Amino acid sequence: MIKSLRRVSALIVYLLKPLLKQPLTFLTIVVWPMVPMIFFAVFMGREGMYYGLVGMLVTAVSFTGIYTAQDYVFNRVLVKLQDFLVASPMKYIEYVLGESLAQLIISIPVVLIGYILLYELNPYNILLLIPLTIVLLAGYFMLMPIGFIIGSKVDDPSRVNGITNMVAIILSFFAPVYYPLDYIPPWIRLITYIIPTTHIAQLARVILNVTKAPGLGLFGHSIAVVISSAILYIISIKVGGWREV
Amino acid sequence: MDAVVTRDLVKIYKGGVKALDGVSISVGEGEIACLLGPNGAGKTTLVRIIATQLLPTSGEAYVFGYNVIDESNKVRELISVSPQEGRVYLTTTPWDEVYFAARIRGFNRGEARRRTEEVLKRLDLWEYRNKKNLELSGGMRQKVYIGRVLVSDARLLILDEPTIGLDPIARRNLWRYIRELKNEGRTILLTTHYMEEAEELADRIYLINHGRILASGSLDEVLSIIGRKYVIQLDYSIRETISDSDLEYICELGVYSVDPNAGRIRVEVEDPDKLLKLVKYAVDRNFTLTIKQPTLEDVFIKLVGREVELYD
Repeated sequence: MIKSLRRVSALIVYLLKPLLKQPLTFLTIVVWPMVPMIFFAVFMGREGMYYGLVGMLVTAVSFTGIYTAQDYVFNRVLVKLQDFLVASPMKYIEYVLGESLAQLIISIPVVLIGYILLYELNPYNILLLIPLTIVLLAGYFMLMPIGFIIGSKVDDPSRVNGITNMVAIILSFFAPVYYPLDYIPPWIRLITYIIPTTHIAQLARVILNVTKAPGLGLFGHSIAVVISSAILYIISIKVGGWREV
Repeated sequence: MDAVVTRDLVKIYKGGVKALDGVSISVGEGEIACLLGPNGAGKTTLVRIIATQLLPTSGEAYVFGYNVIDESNKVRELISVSPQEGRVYLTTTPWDEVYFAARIRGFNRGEARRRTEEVLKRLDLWEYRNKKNLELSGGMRQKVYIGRVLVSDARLLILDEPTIGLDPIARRNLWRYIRELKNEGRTILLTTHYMEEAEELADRIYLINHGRILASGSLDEVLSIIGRKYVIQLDYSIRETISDSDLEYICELGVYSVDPNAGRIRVEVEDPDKLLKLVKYAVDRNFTLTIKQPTLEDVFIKLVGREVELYD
């Protein structure tokens, strides 16, 4: 167990070091999820900003798992880090955990900014941050397999950015992550329920009591998150692989 | 106990390319074994299967008695690998890379630091330890990359083309280091297409081409395949053309090949009397003459039936 923790922490530090040595890249990662929020604030006013902030938090935390796809492909194809780690005591789950936790750590500044702005906008009971954080982490764990599925299947590093960005756009703008669920016509709403991020955003909004359209409610959206997670993990186990076949 | 045993390994990739065709090898503990062959021969596929990175289509492979398919976790505790064409991150430092590799093996901070320092010093990288890899030469980066393997306590080190990109001095230093590791009891399996490297390091050589082992054994055993033979190199001035009568005479003495661009004739002679005749002929014709020991290249030519481009 101790050795396992050493390996995960070593991988996190190793992956974060290059980023911390490039402050501009780090700043971009921090600022990027805020951009849509600013857009919604400008065109929808205070309410838009509130929804935008929730969207910012969901994308900043949940999408870190998706963006690990770029690291997976880079490490597997270009620098052969995956091959090096496969032939070492490091386990598959330690690698996935180290990769995605490194990304999660990068999202911490955005989350803190989001929590502060939310409070400034509409002071809330600080204790609400506990369920809110749990929901955001549930989104992170739910979407983590998507990063690994893309990372396992794409062999061309120049394609991976396009694919992950396209997936991120579908998950953040086709689903009501940055805007209210009731903005969507009821018949399309059914389709958005297939997109897992809908449920994370809805849960966050239900917890913060900002939504007029509770959708499936706390219980319904929670069940949807569990089902979506199970499906994504099953697919990733089938599709992804530590050792090549 | 043998460190590595494979039996009838076959690997057919998607698309039908047969990379390995019934490969069986056996590497003793504490040996340096060398897989020598041209690009595309199957060397990397073989070491990737042994290193638990790739599944074979059929056949068996064992590392210290553990099956690489069913007991891969036990195998992984015992090995460390430098994959071919791998690289280090450009924005990390030599220290970051080697220390990371030490921590991956599960060493605590103190032990990881001690080992990192030792490896960086032995690879002449100590004074560059805090420089970004981006600022280092390609050869130095390759040493950092190899350092990630050498820092481990693995009993079997698998080095896939480890000296690519190294200058002759760095290459010889790495060879010395590899011999020291062998003296410490480690087993080393390395692939190369540098014949000199195999001749210099290997206790056991496997010549591989088109996914098949062509020959194996110690250097002397492999060289004995071509029998008792003298290889003569005759250099003439490229301003001259070699006459047909010259070639007819040489043909009577042995098997020859001409490289007109280099002004060079290579002759293989088996009979010592014919060797003496050839020496006298070369002196009379004022050719520069070199008598060479048979090399692994000669073995390759004999086995494959043509010159193999081992050098890129």
